Amino acid sequence: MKFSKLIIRNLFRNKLRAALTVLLMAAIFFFVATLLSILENFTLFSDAGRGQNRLAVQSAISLANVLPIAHEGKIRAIPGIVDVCEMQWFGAYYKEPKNFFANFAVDHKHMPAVFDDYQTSPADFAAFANDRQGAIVGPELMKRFNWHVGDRITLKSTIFPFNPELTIRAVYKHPIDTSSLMFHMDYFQQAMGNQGWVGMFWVKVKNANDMNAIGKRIDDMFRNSTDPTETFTEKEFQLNFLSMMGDIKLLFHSISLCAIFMVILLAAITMSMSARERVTEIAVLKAIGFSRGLVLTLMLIEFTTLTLIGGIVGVVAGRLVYNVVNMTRVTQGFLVNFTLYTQPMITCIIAAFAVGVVAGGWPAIRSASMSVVDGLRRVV
Amino acid sequence: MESWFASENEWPAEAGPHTENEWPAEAGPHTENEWPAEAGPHTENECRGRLQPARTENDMETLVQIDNVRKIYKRDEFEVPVLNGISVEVARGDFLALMGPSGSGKTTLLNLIAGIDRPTSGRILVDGKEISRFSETALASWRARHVGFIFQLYNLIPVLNAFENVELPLLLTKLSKKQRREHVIAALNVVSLGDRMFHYPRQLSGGQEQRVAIARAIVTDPTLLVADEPTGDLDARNAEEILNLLARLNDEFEKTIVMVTHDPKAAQHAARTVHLEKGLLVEMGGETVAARA
Repeated sequence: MKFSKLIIRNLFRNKLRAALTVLLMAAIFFFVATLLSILENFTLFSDAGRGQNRLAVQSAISLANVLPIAHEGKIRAIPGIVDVCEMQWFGAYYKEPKNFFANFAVDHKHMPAVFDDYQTSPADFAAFANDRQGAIVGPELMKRFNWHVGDRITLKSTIFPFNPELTIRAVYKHPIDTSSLMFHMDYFQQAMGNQGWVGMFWVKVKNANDMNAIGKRIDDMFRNSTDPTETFTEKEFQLNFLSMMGDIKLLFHSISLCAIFMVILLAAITMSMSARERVTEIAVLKAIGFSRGLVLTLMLIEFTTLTLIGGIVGVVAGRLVYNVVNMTRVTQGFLVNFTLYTQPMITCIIAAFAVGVVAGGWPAIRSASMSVVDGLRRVV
Repeated sequence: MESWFASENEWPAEAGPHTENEWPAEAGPHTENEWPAEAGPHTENECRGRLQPARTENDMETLVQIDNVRKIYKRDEFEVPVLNGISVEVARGDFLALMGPSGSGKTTLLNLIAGIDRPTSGRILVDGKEISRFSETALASWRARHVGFIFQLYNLIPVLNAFENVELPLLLTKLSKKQRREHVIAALNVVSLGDRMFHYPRQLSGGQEQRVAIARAIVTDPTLLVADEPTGDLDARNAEEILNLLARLNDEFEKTIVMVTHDPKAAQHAARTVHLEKGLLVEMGGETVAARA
């Protein structure tokens, strides 16, 4: 493009200002891409069970409420169900509260059928199944606490009045969930006095097409009972689980929009200054025949190039940082296998372009629309 | 009309130094001392000596026709009349000086002739076209083809070097990169700045900057050159050089020039002088060529 030299020279005419603008853009889009990637990470995590035909059955009141174990038999009787597995969120940490991670009590007898995407060798699983105080652990968690199979550990619950003493019997493999710990439901129930309650049921359905119908049938079955249920697909459940911490998605999107709004304002100030400094030059360009449209186009290209560079620097730097830093460890398992994902990166680059157009639009239009005579008369 | 550009095909290959180091000896005058006698008037005295007799309006076709033009500026609630029914003609190949005190409307008249402003009433015809009726886009396109601007403060783009500044108007044409380069070099040679083409405005003196601005104005071989106080920011020596250059463009290349000035010495370089006062034409100056000669 024959105007590229003019655009590039104008872009970097004030090197310090250009560098600071790029840095500002980079920092903001690093931040926004991180927020969006955290959401993406959650979504990926919620997609962990995709194709597994699993339904989550919880109390209709809330996930914090429990269901009678007696529901399990009734659910199991519904045609089209492969198996049902009890599960209880345990909410414990290891040694210190900062060592918090996902841990559950599960019914080991039904776990292989319902959670067949969690892979372990038959021998290891048998070792876990045969030890009432056995635990099966994700590989990232093993690495984080430098655990080994056979180690005895004690978890400290933040919810229940007992601290299970466990022996690590197996390490599972899973494409996404690499930082959870599961121990025996029997051990949990005994410690809690066998009160006949459980947090939720996981239901494996034979045919994916039947999932909605079966979910509705389960809920209908208990609708008029003292313990009504609410059944979700696995993805819905994971997202609901996350929403217990507040509407994270809304929160993150709001923060991202606020950040982008601020960056638009800052970029608009920078671009207005840049345009104002060049009023006379723009008038000269128009005098020698540059049309209003051409001036507008050149200025918009210049402004969007600046914000695009910032956006690209931010997301590429972020990708590199998160590829080097083990975020699973840094966030103590809150973010598993975290990186800047492609979709948030693309979103940020598009947003960076949009910031250039929105922030630079008004200064560019104003400059391009100014009459040549007024521009030449202006003393900047 | 003579042009400093040979046709594209006639352009000599050796005329195009691509870098400072590549500058060939045969590419033309490179420094003041190298200027050949046959290249035309170069100093003030030479220029005066070579001046042709004044062209009269009878033997020249009218290029610019200003017909009862009024211009009123609106400043908030006030209306400020600047031109009050001016009629004047500029012949093709003429060198007209617009003189008058500050606020007399001479720059406004120049702006109207150049198509960067519109009259409140009246007609402005340039080369037979009523430019006051053009749309803004058409007017921009017309300016690109027909008008070369020379400003008092040079108004070069500071981030572009001399070559790139001169090349700017050519970016609006369909010329190839090679053709643009050839035109730029030719224009810079005309203003004797072939050796400064890679210098940025901040690396040039005021006189050199103005010469680059002149090169930018002539690079498209425009129909009309308009100069607004072209020597207003220069010392006497540089001012004289610039005026000689303009006179040479008029004499040698038959460029039509309209120049605003309030310096009588500058006006002496023009073929004709028009005096304005309070937006009215008070005197259609006689030929000043005699004075120049």
